[in-house]
Amino acid sequence: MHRWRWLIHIVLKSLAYRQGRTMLLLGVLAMAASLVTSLGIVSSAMGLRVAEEVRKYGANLVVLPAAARMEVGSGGLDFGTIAEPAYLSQEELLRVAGREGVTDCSLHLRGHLRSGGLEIPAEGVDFAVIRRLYPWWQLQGGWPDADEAVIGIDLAARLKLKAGDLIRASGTAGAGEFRVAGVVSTGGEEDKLLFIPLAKMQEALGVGSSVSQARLLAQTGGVTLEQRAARLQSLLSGSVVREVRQVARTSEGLLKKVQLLMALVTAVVLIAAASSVASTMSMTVLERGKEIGLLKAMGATRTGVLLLFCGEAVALGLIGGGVGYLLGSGIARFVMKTVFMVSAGIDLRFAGLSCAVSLCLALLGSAGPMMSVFRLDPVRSLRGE
Amino acid sequence: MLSRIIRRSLLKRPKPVALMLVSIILGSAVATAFLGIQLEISGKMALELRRYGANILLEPAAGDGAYMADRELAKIKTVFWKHNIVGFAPYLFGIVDFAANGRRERGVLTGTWFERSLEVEGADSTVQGVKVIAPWWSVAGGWPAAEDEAVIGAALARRLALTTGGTVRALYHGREQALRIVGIVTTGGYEEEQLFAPLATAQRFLGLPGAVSRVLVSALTVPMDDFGRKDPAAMTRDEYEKWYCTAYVTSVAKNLEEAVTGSRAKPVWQIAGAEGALLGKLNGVMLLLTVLALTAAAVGVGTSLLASMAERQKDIALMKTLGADRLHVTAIFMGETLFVALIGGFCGYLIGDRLAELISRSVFASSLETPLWLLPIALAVSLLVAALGGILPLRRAFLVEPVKVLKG
Amino acid sequence: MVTDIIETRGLTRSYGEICALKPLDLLVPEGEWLSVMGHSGSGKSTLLNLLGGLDRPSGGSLQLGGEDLMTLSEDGLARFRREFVGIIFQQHHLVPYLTALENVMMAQYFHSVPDEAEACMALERVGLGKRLKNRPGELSGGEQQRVCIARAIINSPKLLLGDEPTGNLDHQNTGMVMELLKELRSEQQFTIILVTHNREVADWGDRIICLDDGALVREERAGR
Repeated sequence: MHRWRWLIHIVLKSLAYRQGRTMLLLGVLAMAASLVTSLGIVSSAMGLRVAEEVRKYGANLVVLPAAARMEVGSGGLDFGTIAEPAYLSQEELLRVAGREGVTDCSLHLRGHLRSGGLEIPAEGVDFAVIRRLYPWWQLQGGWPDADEAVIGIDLAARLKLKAGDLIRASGTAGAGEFRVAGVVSTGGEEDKLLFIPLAKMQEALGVGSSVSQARLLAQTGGVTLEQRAARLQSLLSGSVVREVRQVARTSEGLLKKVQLLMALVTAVVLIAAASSVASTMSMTVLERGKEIGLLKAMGATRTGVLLLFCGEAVALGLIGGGVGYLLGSGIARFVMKTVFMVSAGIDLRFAGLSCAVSLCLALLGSAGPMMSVFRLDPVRSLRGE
Repeated sequence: MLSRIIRRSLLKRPKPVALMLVSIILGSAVATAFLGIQLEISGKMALELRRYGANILLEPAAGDGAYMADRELAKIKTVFWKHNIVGFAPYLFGIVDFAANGRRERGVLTGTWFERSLEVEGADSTVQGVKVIAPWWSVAGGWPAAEDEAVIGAALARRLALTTGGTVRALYHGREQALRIVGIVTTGGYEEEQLFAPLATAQRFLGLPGAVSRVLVSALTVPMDDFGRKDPAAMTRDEYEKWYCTAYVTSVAKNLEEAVTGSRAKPVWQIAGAEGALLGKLNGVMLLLTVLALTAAAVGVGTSLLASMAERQKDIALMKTLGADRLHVTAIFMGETLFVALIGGFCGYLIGDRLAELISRSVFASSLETPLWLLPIALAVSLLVAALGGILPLRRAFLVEPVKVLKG
Repeated sequence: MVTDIIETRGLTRSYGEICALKPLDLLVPEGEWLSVMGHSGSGKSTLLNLLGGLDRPSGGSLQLGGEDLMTLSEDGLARFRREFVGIIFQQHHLVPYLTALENVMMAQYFHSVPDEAEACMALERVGLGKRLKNRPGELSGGEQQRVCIARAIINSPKLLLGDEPTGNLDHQNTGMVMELLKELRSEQQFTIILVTHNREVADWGDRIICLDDGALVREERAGR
């Protein structure tokens, strides 16, 4: 019979004999491996989940014409018509959307319109994109169909308009009549603006297919947002692409903190597991002094005995890792379901990690006792000392 | 005589006792640290989310062209929800002409507080201003310290070809004010088109003494739920009281509106809306981490105790062979076990306190107080665990003949 | 011309201040059955351990089968043990979780390669052909000792050592074991050294030496 097969045979028999100890060790290893697995799965999935949540804070990049000034209605301020407004090309922007990790692109055209003898700040937008990129809009009424508008709550109060009313607005090059589908309140600059479909705004201002600003949502992951911004800027002529620091930087910082916390907990878990594995194993080996002495008396070298113990550690490590992976995956799925309301898929990468952790713990835990094997004197062990 | 022999023989084999002590310390430390963290994590997370910026806006109720009074600002820190107010900053806007380096541009002059100490009667002074509520501002240079210093937005600075150290003249209705640029701010937002000067300077220059156009407030709130979304005007008295006393962003806003004369308060939904769900998810993750850490600690302690049981059995058997009777053995053995548990629990508490502080500092850059009442809990749990871990070997040893145990 | 398989000069073993074996000169011819007698503490077990390479002498020289044991390293001693020596103990010292067959194969494993057929034959030779698959816990004292013998001789050692091998056995089993040893010796021509305190057992050998307080006090022919 081949030597290796024999060794495996002996190792398994040895583990089976010491059932209680073996179960205990397997339990500890599986527990540690499962904790690390579930932490790993939740952590990696969490990055995505929190990023999803953070989306709700809106766009993280803004594209402006290089020559741009303060826009009409910025920050809720109104300071009259801007002398030379600057624009971006709509086609260029739409070409860029979808590249460089840009998942959404919202186009905006600002200007002044006249309505009922008053000058009002207005913005042309694509309402479908607005719903995705500005989820915090609180709308009284409903979202507009084609040729309908949305009016900010403060402007509505000023013009004495409500949902369902008609508003007539005209720009330098065109005019239009819109039904007010809803009244929006955000606590931001939107409260003082009138929103009409982008194409209508372009007609009213006579600017062709131009926009004054684009707001983008770009994925990071691998590339920093700064790098994305730089690359996009090179693709768009006459523009500046900037991080919306309020959203981008804060989200980055938050994510890093949570990941750091998870890493610290994982470290603590590993230390606790390692100590319990080590203590259990050291007790075990001490009990087997006689067995070691006997093996040596049978002619085993120190390497031979070590091989046996290593074999046991490896077997325990692999089984513990496998069980730990299954257990940990289960825990992770449960957590993802209850906390994040998402079903997590099977992630086989963590099977390898789980086994590696379990193996390391098993081998490290046996390291101490194995050292003492070296020094064991066969005669004294046989006599039971 | 007997106790001397017993003690001598026990001291010769310190290993299992040492192991038990170490594992109890470890378990107690991890439990203390993570329980301590869990108690404060929700608050710390909420504070983290405040870094996204102000979530309440105060405007003049009378609309554009009206102003609020800056002497009312101190009231913000005296309202019912004063402990939830993390910070605020007042703003005064004026549309002026800027001249520098031969260029001339129309832009917005904004008077504000950057980092100002606010004295409130009957309470500690706090720091308010832009630095507190807008930590994402990236300022190249420094912050204004003197009355004639200012921070300029990056886009405006570019158009006027200004750098730090340069001077700009603001022109408004015949008045002129020279301001020295000490910093350039980048945010990717409309701040880049403004020039920020100290509020008093702007008030003087614009001829609006004591005026404030708006106030942005950063407040700690609880996530909105269906109850919070109800219209306060339609609530019964009891409902209204309940709503008012829950820190919804709407009720905190109402509270501020009542305090500052002539004001109207609105939640900034971009910030307030996203925060609630995010906070809920983050707290969920934190709870999971705590549970995992505690489980690990429990398993660690449990297995170490189990492992040391075999060795302890030998000790007990030895004692019996030396002639000790059951009562004597139990008393010495359990006494020793409980004593070790007490020391372990106490040391673990101290270490756990430091561990919690370490974690809090490295993740949240803030300090953490481990509550004193966790100490008796840590001790009680350690004693309980050790007692359980001690009973089993005692029972086994009393059932088995000592000779058998000693021979192995 | 019979060579001496064992040659010791001034062989001694001390533990700190206690001298377990005083300087001993001993010659053992190849193929001899030597019995070593003495009370407990006489040094007989110490001598056996030294001869089996299980312990290191404190002084003197020890040559076994031409090899100087003093020059061997720890690993060298292990190699020596498995190639040259077979040992039987009073406490049976079988691996408790392996069957009789597997216990014998363990000795083969450490030596070279486990060979099931050979191990089977060895166990049959000692009369345990029907008990191959039993674990030590299922075997009687005499049967366990016979497994030990099978294990001790599986690698064809030149020297068989026994430390009170029948000490725990009853009269009948003692007889069986001794008879077996005698047969095996004439088949395989190895040298036997048995340590015992029992005169009857000692008389199975060719020569008896007696130790007392670590020193050789008497030497005589065995009478049987």
